[in-house]
This record gives sequence, structure tokens and C-alpha cells, in this order.
Amino acid sequence: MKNINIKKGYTQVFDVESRLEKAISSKEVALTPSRIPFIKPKLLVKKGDLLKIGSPVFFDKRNPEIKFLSPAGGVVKNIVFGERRVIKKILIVIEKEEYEQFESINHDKISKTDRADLVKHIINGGLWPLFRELPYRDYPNKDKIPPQIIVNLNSPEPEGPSPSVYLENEENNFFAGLEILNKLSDKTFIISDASDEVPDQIDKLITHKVAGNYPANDPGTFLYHIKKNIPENSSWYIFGQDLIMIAKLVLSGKYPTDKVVTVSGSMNKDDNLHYRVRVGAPLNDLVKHTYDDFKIIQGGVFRGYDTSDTPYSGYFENSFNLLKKEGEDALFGFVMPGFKKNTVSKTFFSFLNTGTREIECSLNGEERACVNCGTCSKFCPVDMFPNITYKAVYADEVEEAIFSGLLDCVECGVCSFVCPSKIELAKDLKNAKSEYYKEQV
Amino acid sequence: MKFMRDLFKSNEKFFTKGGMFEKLHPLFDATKTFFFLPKGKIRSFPFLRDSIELKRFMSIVILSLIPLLIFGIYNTGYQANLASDSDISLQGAFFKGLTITLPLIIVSYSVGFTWEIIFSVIRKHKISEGFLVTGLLYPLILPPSISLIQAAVGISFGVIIGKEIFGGTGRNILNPALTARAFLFFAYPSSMSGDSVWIFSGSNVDAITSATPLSIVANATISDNISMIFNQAGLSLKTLFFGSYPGCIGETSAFLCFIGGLILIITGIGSFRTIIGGIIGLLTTSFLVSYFFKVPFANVTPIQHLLIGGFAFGIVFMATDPVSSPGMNISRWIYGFLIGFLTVVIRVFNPAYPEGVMLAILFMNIFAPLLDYVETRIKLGKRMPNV
Ligand code: SF4
Ligand code: SF4
Repeated sequence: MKNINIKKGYTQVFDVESRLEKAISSKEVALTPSRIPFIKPKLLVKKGDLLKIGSPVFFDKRNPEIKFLSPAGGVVKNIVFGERRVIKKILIVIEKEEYEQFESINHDKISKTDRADLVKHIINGGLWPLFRELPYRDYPNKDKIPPQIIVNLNSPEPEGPSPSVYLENEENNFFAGLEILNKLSDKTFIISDASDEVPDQIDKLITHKVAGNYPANDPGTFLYHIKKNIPENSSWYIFGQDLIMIAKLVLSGKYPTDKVVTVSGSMNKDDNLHYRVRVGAPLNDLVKHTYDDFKIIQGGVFRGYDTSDTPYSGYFENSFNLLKKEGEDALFGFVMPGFKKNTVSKTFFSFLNTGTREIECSLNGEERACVNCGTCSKFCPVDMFPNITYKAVYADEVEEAIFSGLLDCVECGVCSFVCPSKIELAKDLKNAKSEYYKEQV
Repeated sequence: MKFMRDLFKSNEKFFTKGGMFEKLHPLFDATKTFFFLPKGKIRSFPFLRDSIELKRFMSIVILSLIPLLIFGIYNTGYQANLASDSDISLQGAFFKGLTITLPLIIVSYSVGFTWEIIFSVIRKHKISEGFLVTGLLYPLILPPSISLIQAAVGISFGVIIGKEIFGGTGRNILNPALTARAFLFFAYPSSMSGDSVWIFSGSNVDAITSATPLSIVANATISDNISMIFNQAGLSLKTLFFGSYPGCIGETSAFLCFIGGLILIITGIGSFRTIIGGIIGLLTTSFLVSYFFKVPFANVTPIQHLLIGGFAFGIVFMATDPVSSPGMNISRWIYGFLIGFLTVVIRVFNPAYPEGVMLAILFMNIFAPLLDYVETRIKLGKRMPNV
């Protein structure tokens, strides 16, 4: 096992207790295809259809083989569209719980199964997209052999489920998952945050412990710091919990329905806890208080989505964050000492304050031209100069943008967080990256 | 508070689309955001943003200028009253200083902001915060006897040519306050240099002459003992350090410049690399000069170099302007060092134009993008390509 220390980045901590609240059962669930990156969803169901657990609900037009399945058995109650016919949510009321039966493979047979069969199995079971390919983070082509697969035991979000919670009693599934990975690739890295506790049996298998600020344990950041040659750039990654789901699918032939998620945030009035829920479960099954006037962020406050209008646990997102909406404009705000301001700068006295800070979902200013202060470069975890790449993107100089590291960007959002000119660096870099990707394929 | 909030709310309609003063919306907006810091909606990830914004950024610079401003007001009045045998008590000097300085500050801000508003209206931009600092820096680097008309012309030049033709704050290459002063220097040399501009004398009396440390050295011969002449002129090291001698309004006190520099460094607003690099550049160059050259300036010790002229002010407040200085770390060291180096070189080898720091900074402003470019090329070239 190697230790890796990553110095840049920035951590905003919402402590979540390593304790699992008792299982929650939901009456209805929703699928939210718009939160799955890159796919072009096409519906396979209509209002009133009866679904089993594991019935296909929609597929990806780019690749019709890739289907997304229902995590619940019941009736499609409603399909809500947003602007430009984007499918916002597909609501399913849970009724009769029947399983769609897939093939199953015994643990000890996995190593003898053909790679192609195994892949097909995962694709049919609707879980192939849980694998992601760097640097663009789309799901990989099934015939490709990756240079390596990175298993990240943590979540993409710092306050996401801890491995000490979701790995409990799942060791065997995890081992089966690793065997599946061995069939897919010759090399597997297992990484974990240095500060997280992992059950002993699994701890032994960890290849790298990563210490440092968010997003130190992001697979992209990790890869940037260890890669030795260019082909490694297209490594695949998967999160520990997702690997367990794949293993369950393969072992049992049933679509796995639940997942551990966390609820946290400055406005959460309950304890910040882990919950085991149905995939697609609504937030109001988890918190007892109202949250209408809060911002709800899923998938991490830095890199996630504002899901205030569709707070359902997602295919990828494992955390809910409840934040305060932006408040009233502050009188003479720019000269106040600011003992509780949330900032990395030392222009507020809060750098002396180790206690709580006001955490608010607000821009705290207005967008201005870049003043070349260099703060963004100071914090970028992959040593980019975000302002330079941003300017290249803005001027449409694709070659220059790529030369300056655009594809290394891990889309973490730290640069946008620290920028005093409030420039949407991370968003625009992410968009530029995916535009470039779409041109490639 | 509620009253003010309501006031802005009830008047907003005149300035928005279709309102009577629609075109002046940038002015309304700037006034409103001056009083009420906008919170702003976040429209994309990340869903938290740092509390710092440009107004805060700029107000830290203003904060670090305040001690210099207050001392400058007092010192200007004190020197004027001392020369004309009037009241040199604290209040007397301060009051006199106010009558000299305040009009300059008002002219600087009002003329400069007028240009900012005009350009914002034409460009339909928001008024940027950059001028908050420029507007205060500029009067502090003027000689007290400058006329208000000249001051207004200078700042107009600085804002328009130094900044707005490049596209406004963030896109300018030169520091606008320095551009303004450089313009005045070349347009009205007799009002900006010589021995008779450093003490305010009003319009009806003869100009009062007083040699600045730099002009003393420029007029000295090689065999003169500079420190002795300084002492005779009442310019002991202590005076030079604390700054109670005639000079530009806000530049004389090296001590307060360093206090300001400390605030900028601690808050991270000014780059310590630029400031320390500049001081190292100045000290080493002047040390080498005193070893290898036989010129009057060779007799000036490095410490004296550091304290005289506008170097301390320039390196702390002008060179650290992030927009016109490099953004990369090594470039900042080089940039600072070369400013120190050039300052001494101009002082020593061009005695006709003794104050080198202003030109040194403007010159390095021009090279800042190149320094940044070279450093980024080298650093980016080391990246493993990702394709
Ligand atoms: S440039 Fe990309 S990797 Fe760097 S801080 Fe910004 S979002 Fe993160
Ligand atoms: S943090 Fe913002 S203002 Fe500063 S260099 Fe980066 S993009 Fe420019």
C-alpha cells in the first residue's frame, strides 16, 4: 500500500456520523435521467405501465444496448418533462414487488466466465454505466480493455457515504466485485481516503491511501498524481458501493435496489446520518422536517446538482445536502470584519475562527473580469492554471486549451469557489470538455 | 437600513428597462451595490462560493492606504505651514493638509468615476471596482502644488488610455494611476518635478523650494558625502523612514508603506513575491552600483535607496496591482526584482530623471504578460499530455 499526499484543493466539511439509520422503505421512487451525464434517454415506458424490479425504463439513444432499469415494482404514475422535453422524472408507485430474473453466476464461477459474457450480463442488468472512463467520465465502450480500473472506496463527494458504513456485512460481495474487475482489466487499484476507516479484510487490499483536501480522492486527481504514461489517461473507475451493486446483480441475477446515502448540510435539523434507501427514494422519506425553502444539492456541494425540484436519490448521487438559500444583500458588506464568513482568503477575520462559519448557497458578489490574482491556480488539485485554460476556451482555441490541461480537469469546482471575480471557471471548463468529447465520437 | 433598502427598491424602476434613466443603470447599480453587497444566485456547480469578491479585495488595499493618507494629509499641511511660518500644531497642520489634499481626492474620484460611468453606459457593463483603488492611489503620488485642472487631465488620461481603451479593469496592461502620473510628468514637467513643487504654496505666493533626497544626490559630486548632505538638509535616516519631509502627498513615509505592505501580504491581496523580490532587487543592485561605479549615486547606501523617492510606495501599492503584474509565482519574483533593479539603474544612470520607480514599474507592466507567458509555457510543457 502506498500513501499519496495531495496538497491543493479545499475541503468544506459537513461531518456525517458513521452510523446507519434503520432501513427506510419508500412508497414511491423516481428516476431522474437528466442527472446521468452524456446519455440521450429515450423512454421505454408510458404512464400506467406495470413494472417489475429490473424492467427497463429508458435506454440511451447513442447506444441502445445500454438500458436503465426500474429499482421498484409498481406502476408508472407520471412522467414529468422539463424544458426542451428533458425527462425530469419518472415516478413509480411501488405496488407488487416482483423481480425480473437475470442469469446468475456463482462466486467461484466468476473467474471461469468469459469476459464478454460477464460484460453482457452487467449490461443487461442495467449497471454497466456505473463504470466510467476518464478523462471524459462517460461509460466505457464494452469491448475496450482499460489500462486499469480504479476502485474508489469513498464517494465523489466529501460528505458521501463512508466505506465503514456501506461495506459492513458486504465484504463477500465486494470480493466478488473484485473478481469481476479482474476479468475486465489486468490491473486494479483500490484507493481510499487516508482518514476513513475500512473493515480489516478490505483494508489489506487497498493499494493507495490518499490524504489531502477535496478532491484528493477523486479518481481523476489520483490518476493525475500517479500516472506514468499516456495510455493510462483512459483508465476506468468505479465507486466501491457501485461495485457491490454489480456484484449483487451478478451473484443473484436480481437487480439490486438499495444503496446507502447520506443527508447533511448546514440546514439539516436532524442528525447528519447514513440511510439505506431504495434507489430513487425521495428525500422526504429521510428527513422529518420541511425543506421547501432550502437548496437541496445532490452529489456534493462542489460538483453536484441543484435538485431542489427533484430531490430523489439518484443513479450516481449518494448524498443530499440541505443548504440555506442566498439571504438579503448585506449593508456595507465589503467592510464588515466577517468573523463567520466562509472563505479561503484572509481578508475576513474568519481565518482566526475555527468554529462554525455561515454556509449559504450564494454567489457572494457579482461576476467581473479576471484580475489575474492567481488564486484559482493555487487551489487546483491537478496543477492547472484555470484562468489560462478558461481564456483559451473562451477564445475557441481548442488546441491551446488542451495543451494547458483541459482534459486533466476533474470538474471539482474548487476554482469557481475561490475566484474573487466569480467567474464560472469550472462550469465552462466542464462544458468545453464535454463539447470536445462529443466532437471526438 | 430598511429605509435605505426601500429607497433603492422604489427608485429602481426609473433605471431599469423602459425607465426614465434606463441608460444610467450602471450608475444606479454601482451605488446600490456600494451600500448593499449583492448576494447573487448560484446558477451552476459549485453550490458554495467564497465570500470574497472584488469590492472586498479592493477595500483591503484602501484600508492599507488609510494610514498613509492620514499621515500624508498631516505632512503636506505641516510642510506648507512650516515654510510659510503658520500654525504647525497638529490640528493646524492637519487642517491645512485637508484643504490641499481633499480637493485633489475629490477631483480624482469624481473625474475618474465620470469616465467609468461613461464607459460603462456605452459598453452596458457594470461599473467595476478597480477605480476605487486607482482613485485614491493617484492623489497620493501627486506633488501637493499640482493644480486641480492638471490633476483632472492626468486622471482622465490614466483612466482612458491606461485602462478603458484596453477594455476596462482586468484587461489593462498598465497601472492606470501610474499611467496618469507618467502622463502628467511628460505633459507638465515643471509642475511635476524640480525643487519647487513639493511644498504647497497657494497661488499668490512665490513657490517655496525644497530639494528632495533624489535631487540632492543628482546635484552632488562624486566626492560628496551623501549622508552628511542629507543630514544637513534635515533628512536623517529616521526622517526618511518616518517620512516627515516634503514630497509627494502620500509617498514620503517608508514606514507606513511597509505597514501597508504587511497588511497586503498577510491578507494575500498583494503578492509578497513581488514586494520582497523588489526590495531584494533594489538592495542588491544598489550595493553593486556602490562597488563598481564612480557616480554620485554610488555614495547612496542601499538602505537610503530603499527609503528615498517613491520606491517603497511603488513596490507595495503599484507593483502589486494584480491586473498589471504577472500572475505566476516565479514571474512575480522576477518582475519584482527587475523593478528594483531598474529603479536603481534609472536613478544612477539618468540623473536628469531621478525618480526611477514609476518608469520601472510601467516598463515591467509591459513585460508582465511575457513573463507569465514564458512561465506558463515551461510549466505546461512539463504536463503529461492527456489525449
Ligand atoms: S480547473 Fe478543474 S480540476 Fe482545477 S480546480 Fe477547476 S474544476 Fe477543479
Ligand atoms: S481566481 Fe478568478 S480572478 Fe483570480 S486568476 Fe483565477 S479566474 Fe482570475
